[in-house]
Amino acid sequence: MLRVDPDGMLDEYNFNVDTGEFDWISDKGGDERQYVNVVNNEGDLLGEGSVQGSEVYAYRLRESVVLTNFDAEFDDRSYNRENGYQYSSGDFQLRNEYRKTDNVFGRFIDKAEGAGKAVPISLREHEMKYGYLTSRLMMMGTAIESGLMLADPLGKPFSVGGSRYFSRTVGVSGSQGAKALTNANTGWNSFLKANTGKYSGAGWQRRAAADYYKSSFYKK
Amino acid sequence: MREVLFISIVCFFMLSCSGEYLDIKGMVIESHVVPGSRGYGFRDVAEVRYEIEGKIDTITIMHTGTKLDTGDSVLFSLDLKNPKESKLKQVVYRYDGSEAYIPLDTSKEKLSQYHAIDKQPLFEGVTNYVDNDSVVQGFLKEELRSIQKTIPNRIGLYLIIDKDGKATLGKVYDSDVATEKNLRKVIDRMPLFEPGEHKGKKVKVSYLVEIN
Repeated sequence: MLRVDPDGMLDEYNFNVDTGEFDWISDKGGDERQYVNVVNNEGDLLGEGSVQGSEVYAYRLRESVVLTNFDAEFDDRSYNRENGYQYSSGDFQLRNEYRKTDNVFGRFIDKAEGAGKAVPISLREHEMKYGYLTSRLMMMGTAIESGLMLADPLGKPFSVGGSRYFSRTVGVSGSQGAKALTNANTGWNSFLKANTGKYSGAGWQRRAAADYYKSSFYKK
Repeated sequence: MREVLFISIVCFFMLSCSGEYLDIKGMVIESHVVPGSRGYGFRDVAEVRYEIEGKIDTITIMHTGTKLDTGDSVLFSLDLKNPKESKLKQVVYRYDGSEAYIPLDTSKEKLSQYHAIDKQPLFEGVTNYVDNDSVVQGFLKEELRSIQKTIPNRIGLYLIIDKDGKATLGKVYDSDVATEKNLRKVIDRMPLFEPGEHKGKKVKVSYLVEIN
């Protein structure tokens, strides 16, 4: 949910968690700060917060509402439509961090959210949901699954070396296998070949991936 | 007898291992990314300053699990028995104002939003609530100026007005410690509001005021 304040006039909002509506209520804050009051249908105030700048985005998480002054490209109405898992604030913070880097985990998160099957991202959430041992086994499985499911659009080895969290464990022992599997992903490569020159500029992979999943090249 | 002794020892061991936790807000004063145990991976370490029972203290959180920056406001779980095991719960507010997390706690005392009620509280001499903004701002600004020479360019503050019309200070934005302290003094001796009402009942109200 977004509100932009280009002229310094739209500054204090009520965000209704029951309806998801975002109402402007006053012009306090100028274009320097955006205030958001979180309310329910009864008019009760559940919390308040603010971000700096002229834009504000609000997203509903499990036990909180998060405000950002940047577009987190997160659809809080559909990311968990299939399995009902709600992100905690820890999940959301890590999610944004992974998505800033071009690595396989960021793409895995995109894919999971796109399919409405969000998964725990923060280790703490994972442990709470599945227990210590199971969570680690599942994370290993997820890492392998990520390698199987997601191809690097440029056909290069996975760029997990850039990840601050998984660089050693995956980068050292898993990248060769992942590279081989990348080349085996003929659907994505065929799609790129068929659309040569269509995608360019920042974020082209994401746009291409979105089209790919809708295309006949993509087989579930 | 042996079994009883064995169970007692196990119970004692388990009790001594279980931590007593306290959720505390703090501010990150330093953060680093360091190699993980046995050289595998990386982990984030943060030094956090916090206040407990009126005293300022610092703690090192060994694995925050997320990237933190100096000045980030965080909520962490302080392990009273073994502080080294204290864990980060969440970032509350980023140092650059780019993110804010608003916990939805329905167990706390009921508070109404100023613009979401039938009848807004009215400050002394105000007959229409739309005039509250300028009159309240004028009052606070004047009183604050009588205590300190300069005031920040733009201060945002929440006034909590109870069912009797008494105002107290809630969250404050874009201020400094001295100004906030003086604001508390000013608000403490502020004249009573005519209380706000919703569905025929007096309610406690949160009201955003801006001083610029």
